[in-house]
Amino acid sequence: MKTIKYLLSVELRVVLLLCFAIACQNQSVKSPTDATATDAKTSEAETAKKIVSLSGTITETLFALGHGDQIIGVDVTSTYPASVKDLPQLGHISRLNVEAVLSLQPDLIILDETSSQSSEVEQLRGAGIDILAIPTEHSFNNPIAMAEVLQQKLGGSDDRLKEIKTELEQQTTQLKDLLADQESQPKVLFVYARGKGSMMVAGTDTPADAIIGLAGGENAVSDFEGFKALSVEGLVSAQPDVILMFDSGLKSIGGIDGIAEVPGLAQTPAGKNKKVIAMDGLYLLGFTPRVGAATLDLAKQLHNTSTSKQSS
Amino acid sequence: MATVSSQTSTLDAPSATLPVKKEQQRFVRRWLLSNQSLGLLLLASVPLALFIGAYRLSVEEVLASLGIGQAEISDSIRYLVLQIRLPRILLAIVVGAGLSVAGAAIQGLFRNALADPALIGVTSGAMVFAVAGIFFTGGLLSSLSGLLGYSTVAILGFLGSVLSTLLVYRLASHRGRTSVTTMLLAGIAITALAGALTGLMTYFSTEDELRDITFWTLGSLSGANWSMLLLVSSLIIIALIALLRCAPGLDLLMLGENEAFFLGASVQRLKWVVILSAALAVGTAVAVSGIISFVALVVPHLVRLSRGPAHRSLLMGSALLGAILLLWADTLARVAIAPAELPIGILTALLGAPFFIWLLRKNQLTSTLD
Repeated sequence: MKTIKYLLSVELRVVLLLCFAIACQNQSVKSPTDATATDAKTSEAETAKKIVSLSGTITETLFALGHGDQIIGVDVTSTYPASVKDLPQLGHISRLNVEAVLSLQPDLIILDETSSQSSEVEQLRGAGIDILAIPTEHSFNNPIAMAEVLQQKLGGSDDRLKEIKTELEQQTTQLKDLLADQESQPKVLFVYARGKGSMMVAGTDTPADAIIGLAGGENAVSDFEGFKALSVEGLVSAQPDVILMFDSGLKSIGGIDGIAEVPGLAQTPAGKNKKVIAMDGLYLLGFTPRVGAATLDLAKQLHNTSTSKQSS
Repeated sequence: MATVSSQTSTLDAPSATLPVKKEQQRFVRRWLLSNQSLGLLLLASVPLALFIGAYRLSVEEVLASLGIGQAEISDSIRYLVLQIRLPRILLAIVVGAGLSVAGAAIQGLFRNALADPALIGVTSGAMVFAVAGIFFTGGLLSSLSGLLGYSTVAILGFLGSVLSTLLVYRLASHRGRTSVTTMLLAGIAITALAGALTGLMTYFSTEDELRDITFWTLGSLSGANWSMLLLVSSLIIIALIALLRCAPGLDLLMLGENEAFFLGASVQRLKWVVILSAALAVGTAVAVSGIISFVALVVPHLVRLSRGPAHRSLLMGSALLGAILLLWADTLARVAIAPAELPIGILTALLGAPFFIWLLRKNQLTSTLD
């Protein structure tokens, strides 16, 4: 019996201590919200919305529009501009920590339309947070369409929006001039790699297919939709002139030397000439406000008009 | 104080007081894992876990959202506590209890402490269907997912687990008798087949699908809500009651199948009820939370160590301990790497496996000493 009493008292003390510790901790970091801020002028509150962005393309577009300082949290795909890495990182959209998002006390959560259907997003909506889902299209128009939706939602001057438009228009003309001089359409194979064991190629109806077309290339594979695992025979029969990759993907298979070891590649023009183009994932396939620059960049490298960076 | 003094005296004269100390230790262990203390611990855990989360709330705020006290709180805080945190805590309890009791009952049925619900195809069946749910959402299943929304994967997972269990059961039944050994082998075959189908879909999946599939197999309790909780808990509670009623039968079965039959147990009916209830409990749990490994294996072991193999107390203890462990594992998953979230399946395996190994080693050593 003595043991029971002793244990009971110990258990009680532990529970009490825990409660006390938690209470202290919570009181010391009281959240700086509520009552005081709410009766401020509504118009001012409108422009100073705190935003959580859950898409790399959206984050980048927000920065391009000058709303970057309103962003208080981003997902794992938000990598540009570099300063976003100092913001709270909320992980991947399909594994959201709802509480953590709420603890940032956002007024608005912006995400891609394809990821807007989940129980986590439903919970965020239920907590009374404004959710804006924006579709992505794989075209030059995407950053403009996206920026217009964001501009309409967030208000403020539309100077930046005009800048984005004029810049893209200029780049479109540049690209037209560049492509007008080209007779051939190089066959490009986009390879998504995550180490040597996991390599996929992009068929039709993929962002990679779209950007290759825009840059005046031809997708080396057109007989299937979406991504498929890379087979040696498929690679040889596709006969790509150029291999296009993410720089992270190229790194994962051991750089330019690593890709030379991919079976079958040596039997293709791309392998023989060691013609590999590697670019940042968000830059190349994000269809962000940098899409014009990225396409020009790719077009130049495809058609060898400038010093082709055959990547490191 | 008595304990402390006996400990010091143990140091002075180990040979004389060792049996007393051992007796005490056994008593303490038994008390710590008794139904009362586990129940108390579970009751204490719920409010405690309610205070913990990535969103820091004061005690007053939590109490106020529960309707206690005078503190003024915003609607979003009330929503956070009542619609996000509380259902998730309760879901962890229900899922933990369901997995552990199903594990204990399956171990009893197979008379093998290494048996796990995964052995009879429950988990792999759920996996195939859930992965198919993720893989075909765009094409084949688009009308279905339009109808069911984001619970498509959960519902398919549940269907998969029940169907594969029924298949294993059918395969092992012949002329009204079910062979437990055949069931085990059929379970292994179905698991292999399911693994191959899952692998096939994984291989041809796109990047996004692949990520969804991987995340699903790592388990998570996020996204819990009241309607989901109501459905899940009613299904799991039905399974728990059915399994608890099987306890006397399972005790008899420990003597052997024929012996149990001659002692008056309806062995065939027992097998049927245990298999279906376990499939119901695990299938429901897997459907809402993905794959949470090791709980079903480790928890019954822990309870058996302190209570012995009698099934009524083993099943009760497993339910309580499983609930407590999963509740705290999920609380850890919620806050460990906030603002991101850690998949709970990783946590349970990461903590469970070394603990299990320690348990094995310790038992080996003590049994050789004894």
